[in-house]
Amino acid sequence: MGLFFGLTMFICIESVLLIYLFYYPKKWKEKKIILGVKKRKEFSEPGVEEKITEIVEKAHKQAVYITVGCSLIAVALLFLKGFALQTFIWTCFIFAALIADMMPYLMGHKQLMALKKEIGLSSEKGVSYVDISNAGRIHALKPVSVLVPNIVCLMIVLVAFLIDLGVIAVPGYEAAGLLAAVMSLTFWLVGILITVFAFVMDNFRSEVISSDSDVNANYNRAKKMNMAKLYVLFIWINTIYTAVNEAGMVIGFTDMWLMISIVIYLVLLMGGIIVFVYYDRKIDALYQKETEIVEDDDEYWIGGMIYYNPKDKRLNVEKRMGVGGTVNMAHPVGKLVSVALVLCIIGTFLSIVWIGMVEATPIRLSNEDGKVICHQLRDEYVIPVSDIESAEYGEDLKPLKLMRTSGVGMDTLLKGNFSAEGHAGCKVFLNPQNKAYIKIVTKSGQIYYVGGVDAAQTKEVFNTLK
Amino acid sequence: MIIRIDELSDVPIYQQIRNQIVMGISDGTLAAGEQLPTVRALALEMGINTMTVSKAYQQLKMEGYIMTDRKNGARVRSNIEKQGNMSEGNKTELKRIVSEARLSGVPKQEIIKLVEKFYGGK
Repeated sequence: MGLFFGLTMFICIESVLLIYLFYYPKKWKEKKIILGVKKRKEFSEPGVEEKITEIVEKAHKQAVYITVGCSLIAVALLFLKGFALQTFIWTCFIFAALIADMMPYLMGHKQLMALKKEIGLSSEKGVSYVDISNAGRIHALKPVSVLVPNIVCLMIVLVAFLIDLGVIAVPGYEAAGLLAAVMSLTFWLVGILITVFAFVMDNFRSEVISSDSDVNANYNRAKKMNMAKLYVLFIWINTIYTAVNEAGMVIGFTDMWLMISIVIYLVLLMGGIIVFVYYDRKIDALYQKETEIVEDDDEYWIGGMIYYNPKDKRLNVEKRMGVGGTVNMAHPVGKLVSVALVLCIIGTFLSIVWIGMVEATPIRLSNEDGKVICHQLRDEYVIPVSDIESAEYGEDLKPLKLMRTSGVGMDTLLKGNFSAEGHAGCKVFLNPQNKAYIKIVTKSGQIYYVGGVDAAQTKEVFNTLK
Repeated sequence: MIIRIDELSDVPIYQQIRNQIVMGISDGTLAAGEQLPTVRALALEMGINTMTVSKAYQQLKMEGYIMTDRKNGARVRSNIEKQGNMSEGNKTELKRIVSEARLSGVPKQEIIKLVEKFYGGK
Protein backbone atom coordinates (compact mmCIF):
# COMPACT_ATOMS: atom_id res chain seq x y z
CA MET A 1 0.00 0.00 0.00
CA GLY A 2 2.78 2.39 1.04
CA LEU A 3 4.90 1.62 -2.00
CA PHE A 4 1.86 1.99 -4.25
CA PHE A 5 1.07 5.42 -2.79
CA GLY A 6 4.71 6.46 -3.18
CA LEU A 7 4.79 5.17 -6.75
CA THR A 8 1.64 7.13 -7.66
CA MET A 9 3.11 10.33 -6.21
CA PHE A 10 6.44 9.60 -7.93
CA ILE A 11 4.82 9.25 -11.37
CA CYS A 12 2.81 12.45 -10.90
CA ILE A 13 5.70 14.65 -9.77
CA GLU A 14 8.22 13.19 -12.25
CA SER A 15 5.82 13.79 -15.15
CA VAL A 16 5.19 17.38 -14.09
CA LEU A 17 8.93 18.02 -13.70
CA LEU A 18 9.62 16.55 -17.14
CA ILE A 19 6.79 18.58 -18.73
CA TYR A 20 8.10 21.76 -17.08
CA LEU A 21 11.52 21.13 -18.63
CA PHE A 22 9.94 21.78 -22.04
CA TYR A 23 9.31 25.35 -20.88
CA TYR A 24 13.01 25.96 -20.25
CA PRO A 25 14.10 26.10 -23.88
CA LYS A 26 17.71 25.98 -24.91
CA LYS A 27 17.01 27.01 -28.49
CA TRP A 28 14.90 30.04 -27.62
CA LYS A 29 14.93 31.43 -31.16
CA GLU A 30 12.58 28.63 -32.25
CA LYS A 31 10.07 29.36 -29.51
CA LYS A 32 7.11 31.71 -29.49
CA ILE A 33 7.17 32.28 -25.74
CA ILE A 34 10.41 32.41 -23.79
CA LEU A 35 10.07 32.02 -20.02
CA GLY A 36 6.59 33.52 -20.16
CA VAL A 37 7.64 36.42 -22.41
CA LYS A 38 6.42 36.74 -26.00
CA LYS A 39 9.33 36.66 -28.43
CA ARG A 40 9.75 39.93 -30.31
CA LYS A 41 11.80 40.52 -33.45
CA GLU A 42 13.92 43.01 -31.50
CA PHE A 43 15.26 40.07 -29.46
CA SER A 44 17.48 39.14 -32.40
CA GLU A 45 19.32 42.48 -32.38
CA PRO A 46 23.04 42.35 -31.57
CA GLY A 47 23.71 42.73 -27.87
CA VAL A 48 20.16 41.73 -26.94
CA GLU A 49 20.44 38.23 -28.39
CA GLU A 50 23.49 37.40 -26.28
CA LYS A 51 21.82 38.63 -23.10
CA ILE A 52 18.71 36.54 -23.77
CA THR A 53 20.82 33.47 -24.52
CA GLU A 54 22.61 33.97 -21.21
CA ILE A 55 19.32 34.30 -19.25
CA VAL A 56 17.73 31.31 -20.99
CA GLU A 57 20.75 29.04 -20.62
CA LYS A 58 21.09 29.90 -16.94
CA ALA A 59 17.40 29.12 -16.30
CA HIS A 60 17.67 25.87 -18.28
CA LYS A 61 20.73 24.76 -16.33
CA GLN A 62 19.09 25.56 -12.98
CA ALA A 63 15.90 23.75 -14.01
CA VAL A 64 17.87 20.62 -14.98
CA TYR A 65 19.70 20.64 -11.62
CA ILE A 66 16.41 21.09 -9.74
CA THR A 67 14.73 18.30 -11.75
CA VAL A 68 17.58 15.88 -11.10
CA GLY A 69 17.72 16.83 -7.41
CA CYS A 70 13.96 16.46 -6.96
CA SER A 71 13.99 13.12 -8.81
CA LEU A 72 16.65 11.75 -6.47
CA ILE A 73 14.69 12.91 -3.43
CA ALA A 74 11.51 11.37 -4.91
CA VAL A 75 13.28 8.00 -5.32
CA ALA A 76 14.41 8.15 -1.68
CA LEU A 77 10.85 8.94 -0.55
CA LEU A 78 9.60 5.69 -2.12
CA PHE A 79 11.06 3.84 0.86
CA LEU A 80 9.17 5.83 3.51
CA LYS A 81 7.13 3.85 6.02
CA GLY A 82 3.87 4.85 7.73
CA PHE A 83 0.91 6.21 5.81
CA ALA A 84 0.52 9.53 7.67
CA LEU A 85 4.25 10.26 7.52
CA GLN A 86 4.32 9.32 3.83
CA THR A 87 1.34 11.54 3.03
CA PHE A 88 2.79 14.46 4.96
CA ILE A 89 6.29 14.23 3.48
CA TRP A 90 5.08 13.58 -0.08
CA THR A 91 2.62 16.51 0.05
CA CYS A 92 5.24 18.91 1.41
CA PHE A 93 7.77 17.60 -1.12
CA ILE A 94 5.40 18.02 -4.07
CA PHE A 95 4.62 21.62 -3.11
CA ALA A 96 8.32 22.35 -2.53
CA ALA A 97 9.40 20.64 -5.78
CA LEU A 98 6.83 22.56 -7.84
CA ILE A 99 7.85 25.89 -6.31
CA ALA A 100 11.56 25.08 -6.71
CA ASP A 101 11.05 24.08 -10.34
CA MET A 102 9.25 27.34 -11.08
CA MET A 103 11.90 29.55 -9.51
CA PRO A 104 14.32 29.65 -12.50
CA TYR A 105 11.31 30.39 -14.73
CA LEU A 106 10.15 33.27 -12.51
CA MET A 107 13.67 34.69 -12.19
CA GLY A 108 14.31 34.35 -15.92
CA HIS A 109 10.95 35.97 -16.65
CA LYS A 110 11.81 38.91 -14.40
CA GLN A 111 15.18 39.36 -16.11
CA LEU A 112 13.63 39.22 -19.58
CA MET A 113 10.98 41.78 -18.65
CA ALA A 114 13.71 44.04 -17.26
CA LEU A 115 15.68 43.59 -20.49
CA LYS A 116 12.62 44.52 -22.54
CA LYS A 117 12.31 47.70 -20.51
CA GLU A 118 16.03 48.40 -20.89
CA ILE A 119 15.86 48.24 -24.69
CA GLY A 120 12.67 50.31 -24.74
CA LEU A 121 10.24 47.55 -25.64
CA SER A 122 6.83 47.73 -24.08
CA SER A 123 3.75 45.59 -24.39
CA GLU A 124 0.98 46.81 -26.63
CA LYS A 125 -1.35 47.17 -23.69
CA GLY A 126 -4.99 46.79 -24.63
CA VAL A 127 -4.23 45.82 -28.24
CA SER A 128 -5.57 42.57 -29.63
CA TYR A 129 -5.83 41.09 -33.11
CA VAL A 130 -8.64 39.04 -34.52
CA ASP A 131 -8.75 37.23 -37.82
CA ILE A 132 -12.30 37.89 -38.94
CA SER A 133 -12.14 35.14 -41.54
CA ASN A 134 -11.37 32.51 -38.89
CA ALA A 135 -13.21 33.83 -35.84
CA GLY A 136 -15.18 30.97 -34.29
CA ARG A 137 -14.53 28.74 -37.29
CA ILE A 138 -11.40 26.82 -36.35
CA HIS A 139 -12.26 23.58 -34.61
CA ALA A 140 -10.50 20.25 -34.58
CA LEU A 141 -12.51 18.20 -32.12
CA LYS A 142 -14.97 15.86 -33.79
CA PRO A 143 -17.90 15.27 -31.42
CA VAL A 144 -18.11 11.62 -32.52
CA SER A 145 -14.50 11.01 -31.43
CA VAL A 146 -15.35 11.86 -27.82
CA LEU A 147 -18.87 10.52 -27.94
CA VAL A 148 -17.85 6.94 -28.85
CA PRO A 149 -15.52 6.31 -25.85
CA ASN A 150 -18.05 7.95 -23.53
CA ILE A 151 -20.83 5.68 -24.85
CA VAL A 152 -18.56 2.63 -24.49
CA CYS A 153 -17.81 3.71 -20.92
CA LEU A 154 -21.52 4.19 -20.22
CA MET A 155 -22.17 0.65 -21.47
CA ILE A 156 -19.54 -0.64 -19.02
CA VAL A 157 -21.28 1.29 -16.22
CA LEU A 158 -24.64 -0.26 -17.18
CA VAL A 159 -23.13 -3.75 -17.26
CA ALA A 160 -21.55 -3.07 -13.85
CA PHE A 161 -24.94 -2.06 -12.44
CA LEU A 162 -26.60 -5.16 -13.87
CA ILE A 163 -23.87 -7.42 -12.44
CA ASP A 164 -24.02 -5.72 -9.05
CA LEU A 165 -27.80 -6.03 -8.98
CA GLY A 166 -27.51 -9.69 -9.88
CA VAL A 167 -29.38 -9.34 -13.21
CA ILE A 168 -26.28 -10.63 -15.04
CA ALA A 169 -24.80 -13.60 -13.19
CA VAL A 170 -21.04 -13.97 -13.23
CA PRO A 171 -19.74 -17.34 -11.95
CA GLY A 172 -17.76 -16.91 -8.76
CA TYR A 173 -18.87 -13.32 -8.22
CA GLU A 174 -21.20 -12.50 -5.38
CA ALA A 175 -23.06 -9.25 -5.98
CA ALA A 176 -21.44 -6.77 -3.61
CA GLY A 177 -24.03 -4.01 -3.61
CA LEU A 178 -23.25 -1.23 -6.03
CA LEU A 179 -19.55 -1.01 -5.26
CA ALA A 180 -18.16 -1.87 -8.71
CA ALA A 181 -20.95 0.05 -10.43
CA VAL A 182 -20.34 3.22 -8.38
CA MET A 183 -16.62 3.05 -9.17
CA SER A 184 -17.34 2.65 -12.90
CA LEU A 185 -19.84 5.51 -12.73
CA THR A 186 -17.20 7.71 -11.11
CA PHE A 187 -14.77 7.00 -13.96
CA TRP A 188 -17.48 7.67 -16.52
CA LEU A 189 -18.10 11.07 -14.89
CA VAL A 190 -14.36 11.74 -15.11
CA GLY A 191 -14.66 11.01 -18.84
CA ILE A 192 -17.55 13.48 -19.11
CA LEU A 193 -15.49 16.11 -17.30
CA ILE A 194 -12.59 15.56 -19.73
CA THR A 195 -15.08 15.90 -22.60
CA VAL A 196 -16.25 19.28 -21.26
CA PHE A 197 -12.62 20.46 -21.03
CA ALA A 198 -12.01 19.18 -24.57
CA PHE A 199 -14.84 21.33 -25.94
CA VAL A 200 -13.74 24.36 -23.90
CA MET A 201 -10.21 24.06 -25.30
CA ASP A 202 -11.53 23.53 -28.82
CA ASN A 203 -13.46 26.79 -28.55
CA PHE A 204 -10.47 28.84 -27.44
CA ARG A 205 -9.82 31.95 -29.51
CA SER A 206 -7.68 31.51 -32.59
CA GLU A 207 -4.34 33.21 -32.35
CA VAL A 208 -3.29 35.70 -35.01
CA ILE A 209 0.30 35.24 -36.11
CA SER A 210 0.11 36.44 -39.70
CA SER A 211 -1.79 38.84 -41.94
CA ASP A 212 -2.53 35.80 -44.11
CA SER A 213 -5.76 34.19 -42.88
CA ASP A 214 -4.77 30.80 -44.32
CA VAL A 215 -1.60 30.74 -42.23
CA ASN A 216 -3.60 31.63 -39.12
CA ALA A 217 -6.18 28.97 -39.92
CA ASN A 218 -3.56 26.25 -40.47
CA TYR A 219 -1.58 27.19 -37.38
CA ASN A 220 -4.62 27.22 -35.09
CA ARG A 221 -6.02 24.05 -36.64
CA ALA A 222 -2.72 22.24 -36.05
CA LYS A 223 -2.62 23.39 -32.42
CA LYS A 224 -6.25 22.46 -31.78
CA MET A 225 -5.82 19.11 -33.53
CA ASN A 226 -2.95 18.27 -31.20
CA MET A 227 -5.07 19.29 -28.21
CA ALA A 228 -8.10 17.32 -29.46
CA LYS A 229 -5.94 14.19 -29.89
CA LEU A 230 -4.76 14.50 -26.30
CA TYR A 231 -8.29 14.73 -24.93
CA VAL A 232 -9.58 11.86 -27.09
CA LEU A 233 -6.63 9.78 -25.84
CA PHE A 234 -7.49 10.73 -22.24
CA ILE A 235 -11.11 9.65 -22.67
CA TRP A 236 -10.11 6.32 -24.26
CA ILE A 237 -7.56 5.61 -21.51
CA ASN A 238 -10.26 6.41 -18.98
CA THR A 239 -12.72 4.07 -20.70
CA ILE A 240 -10.20 1.22 -20.94
CA TYR A 241 -9.29 1.66 -17.30
CA THR A 242 -12.99 1.57 -16.33
CA ALA A 243 -13.32 -1.76 -18.16
CA VAL A 244 -10.16 -3.18 -16.55
CA ASN A 245 -11.26 -2.01 -13.11
CA GLU A 246 -14.74 -3.47 -13.51
CA ALA A 247 -13.36 -6.76 -14.82
CA GLY A 248 -10.84 -6.83 -11.98
CA MET A 249 -13.55 -6.45 -9.35
CA VAL A 250 -15.82 -9.05 -10.90
CA ILE A 251 -13.16 -11.64 -11.74
CA GLY A 252 -11.52 -11.00 -8.41
CA PHE A 253 -8.12 -9.62 -9.30
CA THR A 254 -5.83 -9.00 -6.38
CA ASP A 255 -5.36 -5.54 -4.88
CA MET A 256 -1.85 -5.55 -6.30
CA TRP A 257 -3.21 -6.01 -9.82
CA LEU A 258 -5.61 -3.10 -9.37
CA MET A 259 -2.79 -0.96 -8.01
CA ILE A 260 -0.58 -1.84 -10.98
CA SER A 261 -3.44 -0.94 -13.33
CA ILE A 262 -3.76 2.50 -11.67
CA VAL A 263 -0.03 3.06 -12.08
CA ILE A 264 -0.27 2.10 -15.79
CA TYR A 265 -3.29 4.43 -16.12
CA LEU A 266 -1.29 7.33 -14.67
CA VAL A 267 1.80 6.54 -16.78
CA LEU A 268 -0.33 6.57 -19.95
CA LEU A 269 -2.01 9.87 -19.02
CA MET A 270 1.28 11.54 -18.23
CA GLY A 271 2.91 10.04 -21.32
CA GLY A 272 0.09 11.54 -23.40
CA ILE A 273 0.74 14.98 -21.92
CA ILE A 274 4.47 14.76 -22.61
CA VAL A 275 3.85 13.83 -26.27
CA PHE A 276 1.29 16.66 -26.54
CA VAL A 277 3.72 19.26 -25.17
CA TYR A 278 6.45 18.02 -27.54
CA TYR A 279 4.23 18.45 -30.61
CA ASP A 280 2.78 21.75 -29.37
CA ARG A 281 6.27 23.22 -29.14
CA LYS A 282 7.12 21.70 -32.53
CA ILE A 283 4.12 23.40 -34.19
CA ASP A 284 5.21 26.76 -32.75
CA ALA A 285 8.73 26.18 -34.08
CA LEU A 286 7.40 25.24 -37.53
CA TYR A 287 5.39 28.45 -37.80
CA GLN A 288 8.23 30.72 -36.66
CA LYS A 289 8.97 31.91 -40.21
CA GLU A 290 5.34 32.82 -40.88
CA THR A 291 4.93 34.69 -37.59
CA GLU A 292 4.76 38.41 -38.32
CA ILE A 293 2.18 39.58 -35.78
CA VAL A 294 3.07 39.30 -32.11
CA GLU A 295 0.28 40.16 -29.73
CA ASP A 296 2.41 41.27 -26.82
CA ASP A 297 0.27 41.07 -23.69
CA ASP A 298 3.14 40.24 -21.33
CA GLU A 299 2.06 42.90 -18.86
CA TYR A 300 -1.14 40.97 -18.16
CA TRP A 301 0.87 37.88 -17.19
CA ILE A 302 2.10 37.93 -13.59
CA GLY A 303 5.41 36.07 -13.53
CA GLY A 304 4.58 34.75 -16.99
CA MET A 305 2.14 32.30 -15.37
CA ILE A 306 -0.91 34.03 -13.93
CA TYR A 307 -3.19 35.88 -16.32
CA TYR A 308 -4.76 39.04 -14.88
CA ASN A 309 -6.54 41.24 -17.40
CA PRO A 310 -9.58 43.17 -16.12
CA LYS A 311 -10.41 44.31 -19.67
CA ASP A 312 -10.63 40.78 -21.03
CA LYS A 313 -14.12 39.34 -20.66
CA ARG A 314 -12.91 35.80 -21.30
CA LEU A 315 -12.60 33.45 -18.36
CA ASN A 316 -10.19 30.99 -19.98
CA VAL A 317 -6.99 31.65 -21.85
CA GLU A 318 -4.24 29.33 -23.04
CA LYS A 319 -1.54 28.68 -20.48
CA ARG A 320 2.00 29.98 -21.02
CA MET A 321 3.56 27.28 -18.86
CA GLY A 322 1.85 23.92 -18.77
CA VAL A 323 -0.94 22.20 -20.63
CA GLY A 324 -4.43 23.49 -21.36
CA GLY A 325 -5.96 26.70 -20.17
CA THR A 326 -5.79 28.97 -17.17
CA VAL A 327 -8.38 31.33 -15.76
CA ASN A 328 -8.29 35.08 -16.02
CA MET A 329 -7.81 36.02 -12.38
CA ALA A 330 -9.41 39.43 -13.00
CA HIS A 331 -12.66 37.73 -14.02
CA PRO A 332 -15.17 37.37 -11.11
CA VAL A 333 -15.12 33.58 -11.56
CA GLY A 334 -11.32 33.69 -11.69
CA LYS A 335 -11.31 35.37 -8.28
CA LEU A 336 -13.54 32.62 -6.91
CA VAL A 337 -11.20 30.02 -8.42
CA SER A 338 -8.19 31.55 -6.65
CA VAL A 339 -10.06 31.54 -3.31
CA ALA A 340 -11.01 27.87 -3.92
CA LEU A 341 -7.37 27.09 -4.73
CA VAL A 342 -6.14 28.61 -1.45
CA LEU A 343 -8.86 26.71 0.45
CA CYS A 344 -7.78 23.48 -1.30
CA ILE A 345 -4.16 23.98 -0.21
CA ILE A 346 -5.24 24.69 3.38
CA GLY A 347 -7.61 21.71 3.20
CA THR A 348 -4.80 19.44 2.00
CA PHE A 349 -2.66 20.25 5.02
CA LEU A 350 -5.60 19.96 7.43
CA SER A 351 -6.36 16.52 5.94
CA ILE A 352 -2.78 15.46 6.57
CA VAL A 353 -3.06 16.52 10.22
CA TRP A 354 -6.28 14.52 10.47
CA ILE A 355 -4.66 11.46 8.82
CA GLY A 356 -1.77 11.74 11.29
CA MET A 357 -4.20 11.83 14.22
CA VAL A 358 -6.15 8.86 12.90
CA GLU A 359 -3.00 6.81 12.35
CA ALA A 360 -1.45 7.67 15.70
CA THR A 361 -4.57 6.94 17.77
CA PRO A 362 -5.02 3.22 18.56
CA ILE A 363 -8.49 1.72 18.25
CA ARG A 364 -10.33 0.46 21.33
CA LEU A 365 -13.10 -2.09 21.62
CA SER A 366 -15.08 -2.41 24.83
CA ASN A 367 -18.34 -3.62 26.25
CA GLU A 368 -19.64 -0.98 28.64
CA ASP A 369 -23.13 -0.60 30.12
CA GLY A 370 -24.53 -3.23 27.80
CA LYS A 371 -23.12 -1.63 24.68
CA VAL A 372 -20.28 -2.66 22.39
CA ILE A 373 -18.30 0.53 21.78
CA CYS A 374 -15.82 0.98 18.95
CA HIS A 375 -13.75 4.01 19.86
CA GLN A 376 -11.06 5.94 18.03
CA LEU A 377 -10.92 9.73 18.48
CA ARG A 378 -14.68 9.40 19.05
CA ASP A 379 -17.27 6.62 19.44
CA GLU A 380 -17.46 5.32 15.87
CA TYR A 381 -20.00 2.58 16.47
CA VAL A 382 -22.16 1.87 19.51
CA ILE A 383 -24.03 -1.47 19.31
CA PRO A 384 -26.47 -2.25 22.14
CA VAL A 385 -25.92 -5.85 23.24
CA SER A 386 -29.69 -6.33 23.30
CA ASP A 387 -29.75 -5.63 19.52
CA ILE A 388 -27.20 -8.34 18.72
CA GLU A 389 -28.61 -11.37 16.93
CA SER A 390 -25.33 -13.30 16.66
CA ALA A 391 -21.61 -12.85 17.29
CA GLU A 392 -18.79 -14.94 15.81
CA TYR A 393 -15.11 -14.84 16.60
CA GLY A 394 -12.62 -15.16 13.75
CA GLU A 395 -8.85 -15.12 13.48
CA ASP A 396 -8.20 -14.61 9.78
CA LEU A 397 -9.29 -11.51 7.85
CA LYS A 398 -8.23 -12.76 4.42
CA PRO A 399 -11.31 -14.92 3.61
CA LEU A 400 -13.53 -11.92 4.35
CA LYS A 401 -12.33 -10.23 1.11
CA LEU A 402 -12.81 -6.78 2.59
CA MET A 403 -13.35 -4.05 0.01
CA ARG A 404 -13.74 -0.44 1.05
CA THR A 405 -16.75 1.54 -0.20
CA SER A 406 -16.16 4.58 1.99
CA GLY A 407 -14.09 5.37 5.04
CA VAL A 408 -10.46 4.76 6.00
CA GLY A 409 -8.19 2.07 4.61
CA MET A 410 -4.73 2.15 6.15
CA ASP A 411 -2.11 -0.48 6.99
CA THR A 412 -3.14 -0.18 10.64
CA LEU A 413 -6.79 0.84 10.34
CA LEU A 414 -9.88 -0.22 8.42
CA LYS A 415 -12.87 1.90 9.32
CA GLY A 416 -16.13 2.66 7.54
CA ASN A 417 -18.39 0.95 5.01
CA PHE A 418 -16.99 -2.15 3.34
CA SER A 419 -18.17 -5.09 1.34
CA ALA A 420 -17.24 -8.37 3.01
CA GLU A 421 -17.92 -11.97 2.12
CA GLY A 422 -20.02 -10.73 -0.80
CA HIS A 423 -22.22 -8.49 1.36
CA ALA A 424 -22.23 -4.76 0.78
CA GLY A 425 -22.80 -2.10 3.43
CA CYS A 426 -20.92 -3.86 6.25
CA LYS A 427 -19.51 -1.64 9.02
CA VAL A 428 -15.86 -2.33 9.70
CA PHE A 429 -13.70 -1.25 12.64
CA LEU A 430 -10.44 -3.19 12.61
CA ASN A 431 -6.70 -3.02 12.85
CA PRO A 432 -5.64 -5.36 10.01
CA GLN A 433 -2.32 -6.03 11.77
CA ASN A 434 -4.38 -7.75 14.42
CA LYS A 435 -6.08 -10.64 12.63
CA ALA A 436 -8.71 -11.33 15.32
CA TYR A 437 -12.19 -9.97 14.75
CA ILE A 438 -15.78 -10.33 15.86
CA LYS A 439 -18.55 -10.55 13.30
CA ILE A 440 -21.70 -9.07 14.81
CA VAL A 441 -25.08 -9.32 13.13
CA THR A 442 -27.82 -7.15 14.64
CA LYS A 443 -31.51 -7.95 14.70
CA SER A 444 -32.05 -5.40 11.94
CA GLY A 445 -29.57 -7.34 9.76
CA GLN A 446 -26.66 -4.87 9.94
CA ILE A 447 -23.31 -6.66 9.85
CA TYR A 448 -20.27 -5.38 11.80
CA TYR A 449 -16.68 -6.63 11.69
CA VAL A 450 -14.98 -5.18 14.73
CA GLY A 451 -11.75 -5.69 16.57
CA GLY A 452 -9.71 -4.22 19.38
CA VAL A 453 -6.18 -2.89 19.64
CA ASP A 454 -4.93 -6.48 19.92
CA ALA A 455 -6.28 -10.04 19.84
CA ALA A 456 -6.57 -10.12 23.66
CA GLN A 457 -8.90 -7.09 23.71
CA THR A 458 -11.00 -8.57 20.91
CA LYS A 459 -11.23 -11.94 22.66
CA GLU A 460 -12.11 -10.24 25.97
CA VAL A 461 -15.05 -8.38 24.41
CA PHE A 462 -16.17 -11.53 22.58
CA ASN A 463 -16.20 -13.45 25.91
CA THR A 464 -18.54 -10.83 27.39
CA LEU A 465 -20.88 -11.32 24.43
CA LYS A 466 -20.98 -15.10 24.80
CA MET B 1 -8.87 39.86 -42.68
CA ILE B 2 -7.19 41.00 -39.49
CA ILE B 3 -8.87 43.44 -37.13
CA ARG B 4 -6.75 45.32 -34.62
CA ILE B 5 -8.56 46.43 -31.51
CA ASP B 6 -7.08 48.99 -29.15
CA GLU B 7 -8.97 49.09 -25.89
CA LEU B 8 -7.13 52.19 -24.73
CA SER B 9 -7.94 54.20 -27.87
CA ASP B 10 -10.31 57.20 -27.78
CA VAL B 11 -12.30 55.55 -30.56
CA PRO B 12 -14.97 53.24 -29.11
CA ILE B 13 -14.39 49.54 -29.78
CA TYR B 14 -17.60 49.11 -31.79
CA GLN B 15 -16.46 52.02 -33.99
CA GLN B 16 -13.03 50.41 -34.47
CA ILE B 17 -14.71 47.18 -35.59
CA ARG B 18 -17.04 49.07 -37.91
CA ASN B 19 -14.24 51.16 -39.43
CA GLN B 20 -11.98 48.20 -40.11
CA ILE B 21 -14.76 46.13 -41.68
CA VAL B 22 -15.60 49.10 -43.95
CA MET B 23 -11.92 49.35 -44.93
CA GLY B 24 -11.84 45.60 -45.56
CA ILE B 25 -14.87 45.81 -47.86
CA SER B 26 -13.40 48.83 -49.64
CA ASP B 27 -10.00 47.28 -50.38
CA GLY B 28 -11.52 43.91 -51.30
CA THR B 29 -10.19 41.94 -48.34
CA LEU B 30 -13.80 41.19 -47.53
CA ALA B 31 -15.53 40.06 -50.68
CA ALA B 32 -19.16 40.72 -51.56
CA GLY B 33 -21.36 38.03 -50.01
CA GLU B 34 -18.62 36.94 -47.62
CA GLN B 35 -19.86 35.52 -44.36
CA LEU B 36 -18.91 37.47 -41.23
CA PRO B 37 -18.45 35.68 -37.91
CA THR B 38 -21.40 35.52 -35.56
CA VAL B 39 -21.68 38.20 -32.88
CA ARG B 40 -20.91 35.61 -30.19
CA ALA B 41 -17.88 34.15 -31.99
CA LEU B 42 -16.36 37.57 -32.66
CA ALA B 43 -16.98 38.72 -29.08
CA LEU B 44 -15.38 35.53 -27.76
CA GLU B 45 -12.32 35.93 -29.98
CA MET B 46 -11.88 39.58 -28.96
CA GLY B 47 -12.69 39.05 -25.30
CA ILE B 48 -15.31 41.80 -25.42
CA ASN B 49 -19.01 42.05 -24.70
CA THR B 50 -21.40 40.67 -27.33
CA MET B 51 -23.33 43.96 -27.15
CA THR B 52 -20.28 45.81 -28.51
CA VAL B 53 -20.03 43.56 -31.56
CA SER B 54 -23.78 43.68 -31.99
CA LYS B 55 -23.66 47.49 -32.02
CA ALA B 56 -20.95 47.47 -34.70
CA TYR B 57 -22.97 45.06 -36.86
CA GLN B 58 -26.13 47.12 -36.36
CA GLN B 59 -24.32 50.22 -37.57
CA LEU B 60 -22.85 48.42 -40.57
CA LYS B 61 -26.30 47.11 -41.44
CA MET B 62 -27.87 50.53 -41.08
CA GLU B 63 -25.23 52.04 -43.35
CA GLY B 64 -25.90 49.36 -45.93
CA TYR B 65 -22.53 47.58 -45.83
CA ILE B 66 -23.76 44.26 -44.51
CA MET B 67 -27.00 42.36 -44.35
CA THR B 68 -28.11 40.09 -41.58
CA ASP B 69 -30.70 37.40 -41.28
CA ARG B 70 -31.40 34.77 -38.67
CA LYS B 71 -30.55 31.85 -40.93
CA ASN B 72 -27.30 33.00 -42.54
CA GLY B 73 -25.95 35.47 -39.95
CA ALA B 74 -24.11 38.54 -41.23
CA ARG B 75 -22.81 38.85 -44.80
CA VAL B 76 -21.15 41.60 -46.82
CA ARG B 77 -23.72 43.15 -49.16
CA SER B 78 -23.09 42.48 -52.83
CA ASN B 79 -24.92 45.64 -53.94
CA ILE B 80 -23.69 48.41 -51.70
CA GLU B 81 -25.54 51.60 -52.54
CA LYS B 82 -23.23 54.07 -54.26
CA GLN B 83 -24.40 57.58 -53.35
CA GLY B 84 -21.54 59.22 -55.17
CA ASN B 85 -20.86 61.83 -52.50
CA MET B 86 -19.09 62.05 -49.15
CA SER B 87 -20.96 62.65 -45.93
CA GLU B 88 -20.35 65.94 -44.13
CA GLY B 89 -18.81 64.07 -41.24
CA ASN B 90 -16.28 62.33 -43.51
CA LYS B 91 -15.46 65.61 -45.26
CA THR B 92 -14.69 67.20 -41.89
CA GLU B 93 -12.57 64.19 -40.93
CA LEU B 94 -10.67 64.32 -44.24
CA LYS B 95 -10.10 68.04 -43.76
CA ARG B 96 -8.70 67.41 -40.32
CA ILE B 97 -6.33 64.71 -41.61
CA VAL B 98 -5.12 66.87 -44.53
CA SER B 99 -4.67 69.87 -42.21
CA GLU B 100 -2.63 67.86 -39.75
CA ALA B 101 -0.52 66.46 -42.59
CA ARG B 102 0.11 69.95 -44.01
CA LEU B 103 1.09 71.27 -40.61
CA SER B 104 3.46 68.31 -40.22
CA GLY B 105 5.08 69.21 -43.54
CA VAL B 106 3.79 66.26 -45.55
CA PRO B 107 3.95 67.21 -49.28
CA LYS B 108 0.65 67.46 -51.15
CA GLN B 109 1.81 64.82 -53.64
CA GLU B 110 2.39 62.41 -50.82
CA ILE B 111 -1.19 62.86 -49.62
CA ILE B 112 -2.54 62.43 -53.14
CA LYS B 113 -0.41 59.30 -53.57
CA LEU B 114 -1.86 57.85 -50.39
CA VAL B 115 -5.41 58.70 -51.44
CA GLU B 116 -4.77 56.99 -54.79
CA LYS B 117 -3.37 53.96 -53.04
CA PHE B 118 -6.31 53.66 -50.65
CA TYR B 119 -8.87 54.45 -53.29
CA GLY B 120 -7.36 51.97 -55.72
CA GLY B 121 -8.02 49.08 -53.40
CA LYS B 122 -5.63 46.08 -53.28
